[in-house]
Amino acid sequence: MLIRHISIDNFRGIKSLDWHVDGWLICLIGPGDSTKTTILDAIELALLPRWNIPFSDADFYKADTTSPIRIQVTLGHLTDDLLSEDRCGLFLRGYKPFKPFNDDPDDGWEPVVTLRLRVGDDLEPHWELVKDAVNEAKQLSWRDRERFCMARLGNDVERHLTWSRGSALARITENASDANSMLALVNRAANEAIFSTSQKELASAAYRAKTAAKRFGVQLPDLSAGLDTRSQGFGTGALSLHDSSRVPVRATGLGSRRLTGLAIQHEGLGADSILLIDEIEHGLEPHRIRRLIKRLCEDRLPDAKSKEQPVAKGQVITTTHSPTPIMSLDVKSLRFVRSKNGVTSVTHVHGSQVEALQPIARTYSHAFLARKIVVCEGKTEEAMLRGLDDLWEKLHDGSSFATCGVVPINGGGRSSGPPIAIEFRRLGYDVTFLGDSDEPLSVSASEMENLGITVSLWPGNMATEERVCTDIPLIALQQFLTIATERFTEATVRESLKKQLGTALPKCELQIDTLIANGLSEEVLRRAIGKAAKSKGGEWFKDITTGELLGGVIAAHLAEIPSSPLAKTLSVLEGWVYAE
Amino acid sequence: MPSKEALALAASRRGLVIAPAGCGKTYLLAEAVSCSQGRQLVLTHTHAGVRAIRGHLEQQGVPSAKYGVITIDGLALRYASSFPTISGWTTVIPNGDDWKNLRVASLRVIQRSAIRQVLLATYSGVFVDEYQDCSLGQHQLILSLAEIMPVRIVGDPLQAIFALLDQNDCCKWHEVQTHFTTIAELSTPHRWSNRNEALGEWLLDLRRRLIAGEDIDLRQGPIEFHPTTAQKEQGRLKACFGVKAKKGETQIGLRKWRNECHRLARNLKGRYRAMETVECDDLLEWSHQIESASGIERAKQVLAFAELCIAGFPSAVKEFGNRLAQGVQVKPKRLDYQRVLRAIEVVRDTSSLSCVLGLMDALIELDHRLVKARDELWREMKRTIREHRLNPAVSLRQTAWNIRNRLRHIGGRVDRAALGTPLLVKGLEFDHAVVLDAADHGEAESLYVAMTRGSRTLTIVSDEPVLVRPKPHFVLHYGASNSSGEAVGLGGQVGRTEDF
Repeated sequence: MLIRHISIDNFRGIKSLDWHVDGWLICLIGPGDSTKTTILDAIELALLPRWNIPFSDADFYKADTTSPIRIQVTLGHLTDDLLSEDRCGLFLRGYKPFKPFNDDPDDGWEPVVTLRLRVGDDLEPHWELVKDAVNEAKQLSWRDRERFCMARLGNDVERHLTWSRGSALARITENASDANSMLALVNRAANEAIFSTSQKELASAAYRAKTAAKRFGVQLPDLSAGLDTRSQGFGTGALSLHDSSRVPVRATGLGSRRLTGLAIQHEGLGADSILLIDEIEHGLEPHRIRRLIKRLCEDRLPDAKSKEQPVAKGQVITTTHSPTPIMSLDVKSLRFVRSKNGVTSVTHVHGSQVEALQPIARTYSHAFLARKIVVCEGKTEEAMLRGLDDLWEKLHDGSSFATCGVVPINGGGRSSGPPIAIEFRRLGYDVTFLGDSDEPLSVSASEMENLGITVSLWPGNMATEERVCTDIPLIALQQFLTIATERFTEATVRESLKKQLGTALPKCELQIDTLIANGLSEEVLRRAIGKAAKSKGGEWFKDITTGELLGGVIAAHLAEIPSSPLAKTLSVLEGWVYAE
Repeated sequence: MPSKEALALAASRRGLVIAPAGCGKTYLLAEAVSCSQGRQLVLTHTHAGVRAIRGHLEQQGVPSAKYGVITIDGLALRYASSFPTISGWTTVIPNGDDWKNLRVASLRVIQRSAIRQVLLATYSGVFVDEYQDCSLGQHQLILSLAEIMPVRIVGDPLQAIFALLDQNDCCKWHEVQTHFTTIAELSTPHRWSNRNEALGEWLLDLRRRLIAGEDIDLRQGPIEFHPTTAQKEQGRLKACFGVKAKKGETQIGLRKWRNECHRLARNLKGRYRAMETVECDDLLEWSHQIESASGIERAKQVLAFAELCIAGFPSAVKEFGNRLAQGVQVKPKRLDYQRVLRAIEVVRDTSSLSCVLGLMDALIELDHRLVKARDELWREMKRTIREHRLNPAVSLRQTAWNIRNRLRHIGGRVDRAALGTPLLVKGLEFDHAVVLDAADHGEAESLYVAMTRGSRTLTIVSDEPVLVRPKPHFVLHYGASNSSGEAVGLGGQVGRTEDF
């Protein structure tokens, strides 16, 4: 069974949500208070077969009970049991992704059923099947809701490690009488133990009681202390899983405990169930997260390689704050949750951008969990920002990119960078595009700005390297040259410069001051070095280590050139990074 | 142990069992349901039929999860109204021609793949009772169901009297035989066993003769034959009174037309009571007339109604209404007449309908050995007025309709001695049957239904001692001869199960 569509009104932090789910494996990501967990809670309340769910004023949006809570979940791929006439069969509606509902399941539409949970100011929940054609919605009891095969995994873990009533362990126990007879045994044995131990203090008190009673005319036989059968004794909740050293499983580490509880819950569920997991990574190392995801997807989701299972049977909806699921999952599974003025929106990666964003998901998975993203045109800009991060951290009292939730990523060039920036913006991130101005971008700066992206381009129609080399003090330029010469050999650098200059270099040392002394103008030299740094076959910034070094050089000398175009552009960027 | 016919029917994909009157059709159906795999949809035509089938299923201990029983039109309504966008059906309660449109609308729904998934998720197979009564639209619906699951039917073309009402819309038996394979024909006249086996046998022979178009000599056989005399009605009365029924035994007097039943009931002085149809149109009409009249007119309507229902209604009382309308003074001497007069005045002067009850009571208590010829109609009018008191917002006519509609579902009782037409009594069983006008039943089907109603005795009044009837429709028009064992034949031949 799959959830096809969810709409929520006036529930906790969500004033309204209208979401076409469109997928089998869904991973919700979003900043804090984006109402991700509220969405899971809403689904759980609508589908979970509990009979006493207490609602309070706090469950209403802004605690306003005059606007009733409405949670509508539309389910597809229904089991035969649910399709039957006396269950949901006569309430079927027709569904097509992203289109308005067809009230009847005509040919070409997927047959679905819509379940609504409604709570008014009387705080009484009503579960109903919804269909326009039918005047009176059909009420559903908790037994009916049991058939919707939904389970929330990973919560209430300790209870599921015991045999208490309704726990997952109890549910997979075939014959409950086993547990009951064991408990009877336990209670009897406890009583035995008490009676057979010597009771000392208790015994003397008992004797006094007997004598006292005798004085009042009650003849009692010898008395002692025992377990009263009317008192609590041991209930099924006291029976829990233990290992061979008699240590309860609940005493294991958080991760193992949680996984065990989750595994037991999962054991009793069929492949067609809908699983909800909040914070899938909780307590788990990356390899365990990956394994968990793999297990949950087995049997439930389409396996393109297996002929037996081309179609999804069930669904997994999860939330995460961890980069691991983002790395392991297809970018198509990600859903970006944003909340603004009570309106929650859930977006997914646009089809055309899936291929572009997939590698970013692998390499920069933490970017998806960031608040702000700097899409750099290439490695040069990225390396430069790394260097700047250290500088700004010192200047801003220890606040770095990481603290501000800013992640720089490599956009992969002037043609792919802008669309990636646009896509991230569309997904709700705060985006800056940092790039060269020497050649036109695939999407113009003004177009990007119209979409709300901050665009940072170097003035002067220059590439980054050129701009840097033009603006930094000569001493820094010298350091560039030194680093490059050390990294790439003097001969290579000379060749490169020669190419850029168009003429042979003066025969002298490869030092800035010497070269200038030998007749090369500073401006020409700056430009040549800039171009050489960027040229093909010798890109100086492209390798991470060199790039970071060079970034460090820039950072060290930035304060000396505050009025340069380089410094001015970077200070605007700095303002954006540190804005609240 | 289920019978071999039941097993064969249950196992078939499109099997048909022919069931002459009284041969245990409903019992067979229940047996077949119980030995089928999975939940079965059992379809019939009337609510009375639904009740009868349910009764047999409960008696045989079939768990209720194993079946769902509903009328064909009820199923159509259920699906058409659940999916109005597909069906185009918006009327809530169909009337007259609406039913034909309903069947077409629901066919659209049942052909959709999502709806077929629903049906397959609910049922594993279908049984249909009284297939001879299916209209064309109903037949199309059932064929559509047969595309996705086994459909097994029972019926008797010789009892196709509903078909006679609307030849264009009925599903001809020849058409039925194209789509379904005859597995068996029941041949044990259970209705008459331990009661009058000779009669049962004679009726089986009657069946054969009717199918073959042979003469029926009423002077022979274990029946009581009364040739009509010059005084036809007298002859009928004599036949009715002459039935030797023991205490508790039921009797039915059969006439071809309903108004003839009503007339006869009056003359039989209440000994036999006329059956009303389920809809009871007369009740609806009279409710409307009484409600829409006012003042003295209303009183006159009530008096006219009483005259219709009560045999021996004194014309003097009837005159009260006219006299008062003309403004003439009326001063009866008799106490019972005075009571009536007072009641009439109350009705004239009050606008509320409940005082009509007072007038009706006063009329019945008139000191003339009055007899209610149309007892059921009278009773229902009183009940309607009483219920209307509780909910005066609804019209009297609508209240009457609601009452009859409920009755349709719950079932009413048939008086111990009743008068009815073949349409009214179809499917019912009585101890003694009196066919009051055998010669008037021009069709073999009508005659057959009338003659098979009584399990202990059969009395026939006829103008002709020897009846010659054309062959039944299913034989006449489509050439299904009785010599072919494949089509309709007597003798209970069981087809091989591998054939279907």
